[in-house]
Amino acid sequence: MNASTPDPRFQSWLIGQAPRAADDLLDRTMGRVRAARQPRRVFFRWPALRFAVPLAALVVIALSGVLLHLSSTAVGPNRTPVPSPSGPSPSSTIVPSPQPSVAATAAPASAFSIWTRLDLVDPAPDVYSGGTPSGVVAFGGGYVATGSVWASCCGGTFSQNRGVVWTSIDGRTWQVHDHLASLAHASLDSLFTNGRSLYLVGGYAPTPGKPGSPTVWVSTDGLQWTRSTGMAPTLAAVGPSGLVGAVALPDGSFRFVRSADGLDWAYTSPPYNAFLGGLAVAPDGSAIALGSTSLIDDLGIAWGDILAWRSPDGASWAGPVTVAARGQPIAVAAAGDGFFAIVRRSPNSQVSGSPNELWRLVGDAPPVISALPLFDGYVQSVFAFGNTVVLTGESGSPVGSVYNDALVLVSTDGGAAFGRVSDQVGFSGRSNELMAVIETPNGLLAVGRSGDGLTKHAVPKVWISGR
Amino acid sequence: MEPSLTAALVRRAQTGDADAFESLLAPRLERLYGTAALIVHDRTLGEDAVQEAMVRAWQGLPGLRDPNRFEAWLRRLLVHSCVDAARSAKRERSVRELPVRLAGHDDVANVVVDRDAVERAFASLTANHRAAFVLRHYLGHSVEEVADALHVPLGTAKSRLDYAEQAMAAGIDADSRLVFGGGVA
Repeated sequence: MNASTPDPRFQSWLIGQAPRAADDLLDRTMGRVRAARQPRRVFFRWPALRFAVPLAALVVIALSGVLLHLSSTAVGPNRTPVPSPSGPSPSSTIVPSPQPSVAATAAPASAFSIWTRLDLVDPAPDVYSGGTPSGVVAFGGGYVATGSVWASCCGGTFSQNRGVVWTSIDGRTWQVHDHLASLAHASLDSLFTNGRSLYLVGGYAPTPGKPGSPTVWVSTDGLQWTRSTGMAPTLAAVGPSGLVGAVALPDGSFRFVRSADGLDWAYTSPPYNAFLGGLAVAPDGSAIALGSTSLIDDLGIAWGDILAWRSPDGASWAGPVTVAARGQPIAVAAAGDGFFAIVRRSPNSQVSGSPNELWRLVGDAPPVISALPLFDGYVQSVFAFGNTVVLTGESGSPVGSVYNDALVLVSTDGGAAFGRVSDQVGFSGRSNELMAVIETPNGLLAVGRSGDGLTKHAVPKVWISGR
Repeated sequence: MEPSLTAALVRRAQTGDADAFESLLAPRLERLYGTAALIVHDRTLGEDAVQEAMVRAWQGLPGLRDPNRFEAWLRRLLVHSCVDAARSAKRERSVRELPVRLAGHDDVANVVVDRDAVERAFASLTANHRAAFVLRHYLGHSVEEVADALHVPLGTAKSRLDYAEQAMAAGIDADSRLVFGGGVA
């Protein structure tokens, strides 16, 4: 029966069956939405690539005068530069996904198996999304953590929006530094240091109702911050010869930038039309940035190809090269002689059953997927300190739940094998998330949040794990 | 919500304005949840599906080129999440009929005297068939819109609808006591 109008018998029955949404469903849903990172809005300029269909074999497509040529020598993922709009004719190649490795596994963790969760002073207990720490570094013989109170979103007022700093000598006892004038109207994403200065990357939104602008704050003590007033990156990392970042441009493209002091930034590349998902600098100054040609199409089905840019020194960039199909990088970290990345694949990773994969990238070699059997959870972030590599995420069904426990996997051999930290009291709770992890002389330290099941408020937390 | 207002909110949300996204979501949530719970035939799974779809929408919103397609795009994301959720649930529970009624609606007893036969028929449908049926008869979409939301050809959508409607009609026929909207099946 396909009449021009719905059948009233069926319609009555369905209306009677449809349950009402719980009163707090909107809050819970928006809690998850706000916790999710929205990638930069960057559109691809070559329409032909939007409609390119992944094929098992390499395909040559030429559309709208744009030449996409076949790489006849490549086996597996190819590397074909996608130049800037002002450069030579763009070319790209549709490639199959990289083959998974079977090297990495996730047996129960033997190292860092016990984590203790401690309270941080809550700067805004009355604000739904108040005071979540998003970064932590070792600095000045102690530790500095930073986060934001973003009140205007959730029942608070615009004037409550601010950056917050916590400091500690031993990692266990913390002091909050709130209402710092230099962090007013700041929404802070990431914190890093070169040992001499602290750098905060985030957004500055001093005017109600108007979106903020990307901003970097610099400090030598964690309490007095100087705000950049010109062009500033939305992603940045610190290397041996300065800071490296990427600036989003109004037309949706981005350009790589660098800076000596974090306040003045200069372009180091032409614009690229892609979604940038992560950027990292290795101790030797080499850098990698990962992005994709598109995130998701208008109908929510098609995913873009994954692109990589590489730099030997953070000052000059090569690429992008297409390293895999159908995915979106969401985190990158330097480790050993290469980099790790967390990559969301569509529909789900064929390796782990999780939406997200862990990649290892060394030199120009194709990325290798670690075979992490995460059918009951997914990783979202990667942190690396020498041979110690930490993955954090959430346990639970891939379809998601706001009540998921924290998920932590640890490798002590440079990522060859990962141990899954068993679920424990320190991980349980509503929206438990370890947002940033660092290595300490005694083990690992993480900052993040743990939701309060009664008030739905995200309480700032510290986790400590000894060796 | 006026289309122009929706488009304006979509553009704001595309720049990372979560408040704008919440403004888009709030008036639609009840219907989205009702749709999801019907398709997955489970309240909790329905919540999960809505939340997953909204997170996907938030993350994918910068890639939405035409704000006027927001409704159709959101509908497709929701259906996609529902089918994913239903498949996950099926994997986890093997083949087990969902025993819980979606709602205790004794107040509509005058509309449906005996839901068991219809409910069994509804539960026996696959998530894809339920999605077609719910989109058509709960949301009142055209067959073309159903095809678009399911991302299947029009003929496939018609086929799924036919199958679902026949199954539901058979459920009605199976129980002579069943009264639907005043009519006797």
